[in-house]
Amino acid sequence: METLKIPEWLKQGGQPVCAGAVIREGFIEKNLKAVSSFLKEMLSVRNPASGPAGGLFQGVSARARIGGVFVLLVGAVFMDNAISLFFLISTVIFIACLSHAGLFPLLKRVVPAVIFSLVVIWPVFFNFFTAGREFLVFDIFGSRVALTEEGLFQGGFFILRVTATASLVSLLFLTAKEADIFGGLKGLGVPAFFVTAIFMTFRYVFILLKIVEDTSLARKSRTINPAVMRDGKRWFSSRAGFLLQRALYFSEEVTLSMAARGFTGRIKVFASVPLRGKDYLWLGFAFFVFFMSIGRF
Amino acid sequence: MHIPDGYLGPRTCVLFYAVMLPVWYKALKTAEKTLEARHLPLVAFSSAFVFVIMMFNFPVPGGTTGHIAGGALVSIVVGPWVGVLAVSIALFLQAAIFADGGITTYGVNCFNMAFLMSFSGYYVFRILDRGQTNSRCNSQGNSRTRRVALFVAGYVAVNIAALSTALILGIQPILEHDPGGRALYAPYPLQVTLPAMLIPHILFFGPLEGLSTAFVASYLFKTKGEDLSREKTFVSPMWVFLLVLITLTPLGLIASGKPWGEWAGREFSGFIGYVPAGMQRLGGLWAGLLPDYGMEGVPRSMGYILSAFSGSAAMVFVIYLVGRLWRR
Repeated sequence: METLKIPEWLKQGGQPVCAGAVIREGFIEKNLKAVSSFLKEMLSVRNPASGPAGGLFQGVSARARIGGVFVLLVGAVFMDNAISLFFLISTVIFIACLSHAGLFPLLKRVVPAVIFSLVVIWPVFFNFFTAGREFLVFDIFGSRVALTEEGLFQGGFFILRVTATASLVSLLFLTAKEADIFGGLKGLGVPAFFVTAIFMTFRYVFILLKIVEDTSLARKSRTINPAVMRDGKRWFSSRAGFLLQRALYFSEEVTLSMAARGFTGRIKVFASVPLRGKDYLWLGFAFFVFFMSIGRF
Repeated sequence: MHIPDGYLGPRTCVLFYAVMLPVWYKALKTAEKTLEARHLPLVAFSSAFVFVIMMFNFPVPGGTTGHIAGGALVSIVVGPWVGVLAVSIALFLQAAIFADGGITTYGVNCFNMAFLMSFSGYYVFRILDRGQTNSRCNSQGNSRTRRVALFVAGYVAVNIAALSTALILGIQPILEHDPGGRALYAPYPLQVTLPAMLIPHILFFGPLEGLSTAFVASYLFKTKGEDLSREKTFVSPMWVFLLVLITLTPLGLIASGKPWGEWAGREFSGFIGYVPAGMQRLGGLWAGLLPDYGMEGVPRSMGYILSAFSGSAAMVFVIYLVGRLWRR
């Protein structure tokens, strides 16, 4: 008689789970849920603002939009006064509103970058890093800790710059379809091989995420108790290997199917649409801000 | 390790774009030659793998989380040049979609995570695994020595990338500060950035990267039973020379004062006591349309605004002309 083999991880159990009990999610499930929902929300759902008739910014060609935003980004890096950065952020908000991108989606993308920067920069606000005129004094376990004006100025300026750059990038991706972005990159002279690879990667990320989701669900459906951390890491390693194997397998399959459809390795791209008046106006504005930002007067 | 926009000064950003341009060019050419463009999906799927793998954050002691970068792993499996392309593409998408990393700092991030990680991981593995590859003593290619080689490759690669990130962030206060000495970009000096980056990487993220590289690659070697790397890699002396130059270039940024050879007559006079006759005769022959970004009789700030406007108009005109010529 054939014996039934039960995997070790299924036999090790600890306390049995009662009916109706809520099983705490492991780090794998938490990550998967967060990543999948973010990607689906950000990418799968068509943003009405990204349509061709969406608004002000959509009227500018993708090539000019990307070029102009890049010039403004460089300008933002050069800016050395808070007024210029405020002006840039206000301009982005103004364009986002006129392009029907909305303030909330913009904030949703910018706020995480700002929070991350705050976590990095907070020691700069205090006297133990930046000496200066004390603004607010705390007594922490007998130690004198104070916010300094210089620290607030330096840290605040840093946060302002990060806000400006993050909002510029967010504006671009909130007001453009992914195909426009890739088309625009081609138009700016980025090699076709690179752009095509980016475009394909963008699609394949979803396929690989679906594989990970499916394998996670398959595991979950066979597990009674929540996985301990060690098991989770072990499972992750094996699934990451499986994922890479699937990626390589799919790449061969896709290559064969492309070859079957006549792809010889030469990437042909459509000729770029010539720039129009609005495009020149936008580029002119971007260069103007850039030249203003590199000046010291 | 993903440095966002606004953390680095313009000189650093420009420098690393300049460093990465030939690397990307060489990677593209190598990928086209060794893989052929028909194998474009391999690059795309490798990038998608790196993108997905970077999203998994592991809890590490101290209440924080970390993820594997995957640069060493991909380069060991598909070769270092494809690794450079794959990680660069993944970083672009991360910067664009998640604002994780930056556009102006894209060159720096690619240098650290795509270039340094891919090559250091690949070559460390190749050197340590040489005996295994030559003797082919293990048809599965999955001995303990190989797993150790994979672990060390991942560990070393991520720590080299972390060291480079710490150095780049740590020199910002030296390179970019206002007249009062306040940092204009990342404010922490090397004494802070080096331990902040290296201690967690040596203790936690390094072993995590090493273990992941060892487990995932050995799983692949075990199931595939062969070395998957299809690239022939050969580092010529010219490339070594360029690499040394690239590594030493940031030192030039620390230099202060007027760029060598751009001195005005009075500065020259200060150096050697006189202004050479030829220089005196020809110097100032063409002062430019808007000398010193200003205009006579116009306040300095207004002059600068007008100069900026003229420069912008000129740029737009040049783009227009190039566009017209290109269409013909």
